Amino acid sequence: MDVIENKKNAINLSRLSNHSYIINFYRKKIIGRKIVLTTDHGSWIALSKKEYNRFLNNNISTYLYNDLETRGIIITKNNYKSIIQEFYNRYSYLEYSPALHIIVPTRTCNLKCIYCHSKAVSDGKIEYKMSEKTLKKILYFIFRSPSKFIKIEFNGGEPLLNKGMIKKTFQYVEELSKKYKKNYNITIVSNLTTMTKSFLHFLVKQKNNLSISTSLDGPEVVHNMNRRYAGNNKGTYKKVTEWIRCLSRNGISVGLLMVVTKYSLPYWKEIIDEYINWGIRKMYVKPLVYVGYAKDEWEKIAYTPEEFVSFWKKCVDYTFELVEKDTIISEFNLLFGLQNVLTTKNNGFLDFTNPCGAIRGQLTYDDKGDIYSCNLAKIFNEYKIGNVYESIDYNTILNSNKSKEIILSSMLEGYYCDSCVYKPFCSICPVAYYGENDDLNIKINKNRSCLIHKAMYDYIFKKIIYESSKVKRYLSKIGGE
Amino acid sequence: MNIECKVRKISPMKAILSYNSGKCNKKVIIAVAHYMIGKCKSIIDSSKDNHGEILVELTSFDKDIEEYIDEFNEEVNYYDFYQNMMLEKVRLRQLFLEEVLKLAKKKM
Repeated sequence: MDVIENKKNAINLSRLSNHSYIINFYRKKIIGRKIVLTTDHGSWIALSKKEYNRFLNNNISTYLYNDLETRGIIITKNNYKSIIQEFYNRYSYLEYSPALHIIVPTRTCNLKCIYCHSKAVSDGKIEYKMSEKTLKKILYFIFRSPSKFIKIEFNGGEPLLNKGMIKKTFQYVEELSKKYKKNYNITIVSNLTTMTKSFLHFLVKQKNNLSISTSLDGPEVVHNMNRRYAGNNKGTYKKVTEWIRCLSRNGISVGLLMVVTKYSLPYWKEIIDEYINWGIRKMYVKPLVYVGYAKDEWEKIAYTPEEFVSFWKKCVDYTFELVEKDTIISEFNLLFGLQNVLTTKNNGFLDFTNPCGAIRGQLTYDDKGDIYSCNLAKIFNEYKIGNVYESIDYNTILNSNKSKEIILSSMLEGYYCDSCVYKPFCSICPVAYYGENDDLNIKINKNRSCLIHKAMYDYIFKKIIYESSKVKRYLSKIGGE
Repeated sequence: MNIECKVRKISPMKAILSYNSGKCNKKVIIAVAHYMIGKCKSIIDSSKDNHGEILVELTSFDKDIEEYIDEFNEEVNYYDFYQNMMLEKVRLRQLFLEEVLKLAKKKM
């Protein structure tokens, strides 16, 4: 470690004497009766006002000194190497190359969901379907990317409206995985309403490398308000749940996804009960994004960030209650938040990293072979970063100026984020911001997700500080760290 | 430690905040006013700076001005703290980042 100079003196950390220290860079926020301090490497401490004053006046007890040293709030000759290691661990996901490749085999969909972010077209025209030639180009591009593990996800439109390309994918991927010595998994994200028995038989044969996810927004009354057929406007709950049952009977478990609309707000308990009934152990309470068809219906379906957070808190409180009674269910925002705060590692989930997972963690390919930074971005030309007919390889795409600008736009290094006590644990979606504001330059004070994240981390820190035994029981029962 | 302001409410949508310029840097007030763009209008009057006072006239477009007064003052405190911390620890942060990058390079 080099000599560190500050205004007053020069310090060589490796030569710091016993019990001498320097204070690390930190941010602070008052949460209840405590002042929470967080550092760049994601360590934190909650001090009483008295302890904080002593800390500022260099008058700390041995007990507090040890605690501050362990957490890296103060830098000593004993801990500076571990601070560097923890800093590295927290951002180690930046070294991974993209494993998630989302393919849109068609932009057509048979549903017209009120919040559709994909702007799917519902007239079934052939020109919106991917050709075999394009599929081959995409798969060749994917398998030459650096990651040893490849996860291919079919998204839409409705992918099952182009079953032929899904079947071809399994065939080609089998060959490519051997050629390039890579492991793979294929996920189909489908509304399931166009599933057929013959396609089910095909999927059963592939089940070792297959996952299926579908949208279930809650009980019938909520789901049918949100997710309807394009032609007759009827709800899809019955058809979807029939196929979830059928797939499960055939040994294919189905992951369930939900989006919260205004219609969902009174049904927080029923939504969780529905998920428990389907055997789901982890759910993601996902807010609306002002993108795609959601824009057209915004007045009817949207809520304020405060209303969403209130809904989320009711859901999470209910999951705490259920877990206490040994019914295991957890929510992703809470779970990832707790992991980020309580461990030295970021979970690496692409929506929850800084910068976000766009390009460096995932890529999306549409029916024409155009490459986008992520799934949400596929309807915006501003986030198109190449085409498989023109682009040579992943590294060329990654190193383009446009890609770098997109990645930079989700980095939390501007003043507002850098001054926020939750920065080490937070993330931002530039595409959602662009959808809301038609602006590529994020102004965080106008950002819905900032308000939501702040309120969520307020809740998470309160839980950790003031209900620590409850949190420990919760984590041990759900199998978290 | 906390920077406090005197508040004179003119109407439900308008108030004047007075900061002690000895405790609060004008640059901090300007940065916060910039942050508040789109939420409320902030007019900074530093003509009384010599008398130790910076005035901010806040006008709300929608909500009661009380909400923006709290937010404005909270931001002043955040930004002031952050600015001081940044200046004092800039070299330290840089050094840690360099060390982390060295470690990352070693592991590649």
